[in-house]
Amino acid sequence: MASSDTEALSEISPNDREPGYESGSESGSGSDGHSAVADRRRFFALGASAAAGLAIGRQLQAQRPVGRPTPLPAGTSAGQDPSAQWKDPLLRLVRRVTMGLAPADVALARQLGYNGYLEYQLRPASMDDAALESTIASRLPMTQMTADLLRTADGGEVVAQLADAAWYRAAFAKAQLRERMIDFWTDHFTISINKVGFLKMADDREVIRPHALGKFSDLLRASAHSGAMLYYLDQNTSRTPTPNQNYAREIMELHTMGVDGGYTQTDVAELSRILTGWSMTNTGAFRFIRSYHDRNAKTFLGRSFPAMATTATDAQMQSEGDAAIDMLLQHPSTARYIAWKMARWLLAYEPPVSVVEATAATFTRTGGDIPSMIRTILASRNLLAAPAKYKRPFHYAVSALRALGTDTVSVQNIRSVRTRADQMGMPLFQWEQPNGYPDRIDWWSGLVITRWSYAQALSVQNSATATRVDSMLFRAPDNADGVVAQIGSRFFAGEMPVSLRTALLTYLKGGTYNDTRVRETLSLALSAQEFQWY
Amino acid sequence: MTDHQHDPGCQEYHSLARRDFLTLAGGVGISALLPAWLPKVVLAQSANSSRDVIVSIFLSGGTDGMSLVVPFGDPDYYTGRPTLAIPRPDAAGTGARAVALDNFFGFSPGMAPLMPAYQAGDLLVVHATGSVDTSRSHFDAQRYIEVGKPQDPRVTGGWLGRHLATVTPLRSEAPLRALGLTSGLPQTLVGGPKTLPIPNPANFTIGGSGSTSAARTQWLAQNYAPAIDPVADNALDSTNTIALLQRINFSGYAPTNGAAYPTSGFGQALRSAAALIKADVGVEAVHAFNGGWDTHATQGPLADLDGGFMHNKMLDLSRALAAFHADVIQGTTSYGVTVVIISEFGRNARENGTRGTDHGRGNVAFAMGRKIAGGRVLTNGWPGLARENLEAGQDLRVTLDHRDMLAEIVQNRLGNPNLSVVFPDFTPRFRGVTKV
Repeated sequence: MASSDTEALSEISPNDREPGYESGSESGSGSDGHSAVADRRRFFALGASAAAGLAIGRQLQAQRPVGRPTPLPAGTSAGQDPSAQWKDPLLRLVRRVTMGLAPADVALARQLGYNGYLEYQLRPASMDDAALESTIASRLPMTQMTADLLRTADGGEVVAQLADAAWYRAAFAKAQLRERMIDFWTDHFTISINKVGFLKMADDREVIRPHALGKFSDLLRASAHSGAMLYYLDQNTSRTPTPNQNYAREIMELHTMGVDGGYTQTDVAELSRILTGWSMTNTGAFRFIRSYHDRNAKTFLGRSFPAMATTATDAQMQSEGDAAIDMLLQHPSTARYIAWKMARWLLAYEPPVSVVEATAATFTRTGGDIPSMIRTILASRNLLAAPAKYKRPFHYAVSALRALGTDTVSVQNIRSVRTRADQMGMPLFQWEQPNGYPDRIDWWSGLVITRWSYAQALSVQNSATATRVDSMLFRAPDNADGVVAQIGSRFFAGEMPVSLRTALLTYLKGGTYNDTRVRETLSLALSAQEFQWY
Repeated sequence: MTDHQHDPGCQEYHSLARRDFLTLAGGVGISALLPAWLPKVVLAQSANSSRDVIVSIFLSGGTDGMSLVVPFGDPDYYTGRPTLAIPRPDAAGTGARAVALDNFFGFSPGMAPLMPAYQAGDLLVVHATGSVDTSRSHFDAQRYIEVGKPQDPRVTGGWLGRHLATVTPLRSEAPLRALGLTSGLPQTLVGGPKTLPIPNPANFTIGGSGSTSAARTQWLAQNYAPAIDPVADNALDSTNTIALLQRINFSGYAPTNGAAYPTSGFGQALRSAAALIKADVGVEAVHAFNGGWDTHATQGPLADLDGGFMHNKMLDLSRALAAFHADVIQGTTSYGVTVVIISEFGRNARENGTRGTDHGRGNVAFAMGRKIAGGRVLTNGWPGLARENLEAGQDLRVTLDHRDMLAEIVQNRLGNPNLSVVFPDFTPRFRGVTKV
């Protein structure tokens, strides 16, 4: 632990024992003897213990940091943070900037070093994913269709091909950090495909993917002109004199300033008037409809928008919305909110205030340059201090594919595996509300049975036309010790805890050594709690 | 109505140091048993053996309560909703119209399947209710209701989770006390011991070969034991629950009393809840979501309006609840169950320009059960829909805190007087929601 890190939380004194850690546990988590762990706990002020709010807990509250609700429920950790096992800073980085450890990425990171590998991942344009893209284009032709063609295509198949393509890219693209950020922005600018159908194809293709590692300002503007978004949040039909406030609210609450960003209900109403006329064609292309637009004077976030003459051009009327979006981009709440949310995604559920502030400053300095913000967040001293994060189902499912050594040859058709994974509660693009799938341990951790059954189902895939898991990759040498050594190397890049190694060996040697037993062992390793973290 | 003061003297209490409790309870799950924010737990040791199971339903998206339960007696309702208003029960013509509940309120046609439950006196409608917090953010408003206290980031559990943590289990040996029929753990249940999200109870298995499943399950239970919470607790509860759910025949479940559950996700969720409750395995709370109520545009509260989107949603909701009522509450064997139905907020009194409604405030809520004082619409005085009577000039006022209803049910039907823990910093007023 760099001592400079602990300065970040000056409000928590080094002698503060978190009362929450006085659990009745025999394992006595009070033995915060691991100074690194203890420091990390203080440093991040784990929300697990910052939850009282009850009369009987009053005496505990004075020393609790106050902030937004925390990802962990009331209750505290009896166990050790899994990151305590992660000795190699380089592997910490690979865990965070990929969709799961895989031998090729680990080897490349070792070759390039921490900063070198991060820089490589921040420049997806320099990577060659052409082979993957041509595979996707031939197997999933709808991903290449124009909106005109998609509109009349089989809607269910369009949705399925988009999700299949997202899985292929997340699992097999070299540009892994971009995939991690696509997962993030897909939720930040959530659109339920159950409402918008084929329109999401263009949004994924033209809004999320090109800008995921670009400038936030470009991303927001592209989203505001996306037919899928305008339709999803009912902006396309919003017209004077009774505008629809749905998009006006969410662009502030969810996309830019955050719910505590300082806007009022009046600002929501005024922005909805400013945005009247922002609509789309029936293929989802942006279209401004002047007859919908409210030309009367408005006041938004303290700025006056004077009344417009009937002779005003379409461009002049539409420019009110552009100006309002620029105001949102310039607003300090937006810098803070996007910085906090990105730090939460890449670093920790409770990112240190100092990191959020530094990232917000980067946002302001660079006009919302996403790679620059990631550099600030993932500075190695920050990552060394970060507790583990729990993989969400999509991340988990893809990380399992990567750990098993699959590729576009052994996976000829991802669909059956993908739809099987949907039982874990995270079918892509299907969260109905505009806030996106949660990134909280307590939302997902109760669903272990569905994870375990997915791991089991995946481990026995052996279809030449769909998905084939090649157990021979692990049977080298072809005995119990060989298999477990391969798991340690491929699943954990050599950082498999000894206790897990022992337990896997015990299971594998507890029955006849054959392919069935090997695959069961693979499924247990994928199911193991140690594999749920990154 | 009088201010309610709960009197600890009228209930037996059981006060335990946490460690004693752990030992008593078998000490297996350690922190699985109760949350760390309870330095000392005061468990309601209910002598009342007729404690109900609670089924909690959250209508997410902000339900337009005035389309569910129509205030047809308020002329301003019709002024503000030229295209969306549901016609009065005595409207001329042959079109769809409200079904009168009394001389002021009526069910829209989409809610009519609940008339039998209402007429049986088992269904209570509460109107102009909601949260004291004025947030019109879906997510804040929903979280405040689920947590049970607005605007206090220190409170991260849910009201039902805290109830479960402060009442003795219905069955001490039950591996599963509460579940969400959901794809993640609802905030309402956070903090509850032995509580899991189980999207499909009929398929709760780790899969693979039957000959090794016991060994693999045991391996996983051991592997997860040292994990951090809530991961370890959830895994322990899950492995303990596998056998329990396999004993229940969900697919072959036969509803009684002529009940027919809709084939929709929500209909099947209530059917699963009925099967679980009748199996009598110690489940005390079931939470389910019914989403999609964010009707900003082409709301369609009647069958022949804009495709009837909301009408169909209401039909699905009311048919599922009516089936549950006939099957579980009204049946020859009435099970002790109370159902509560709430949403994060209502919608504007006036429709918007896209034949929809934007986020509002006051709303409708429901409670259903044999011991619910139903068959009526409860208000704390209808605030009225004239512009000068609306909150912020737009919305039905909240005149009755939804926690009044919930707190009365928690104490009188769930046998837990620890209301100051379930709803921190809140003094409820009992409104006669339950039968004495």
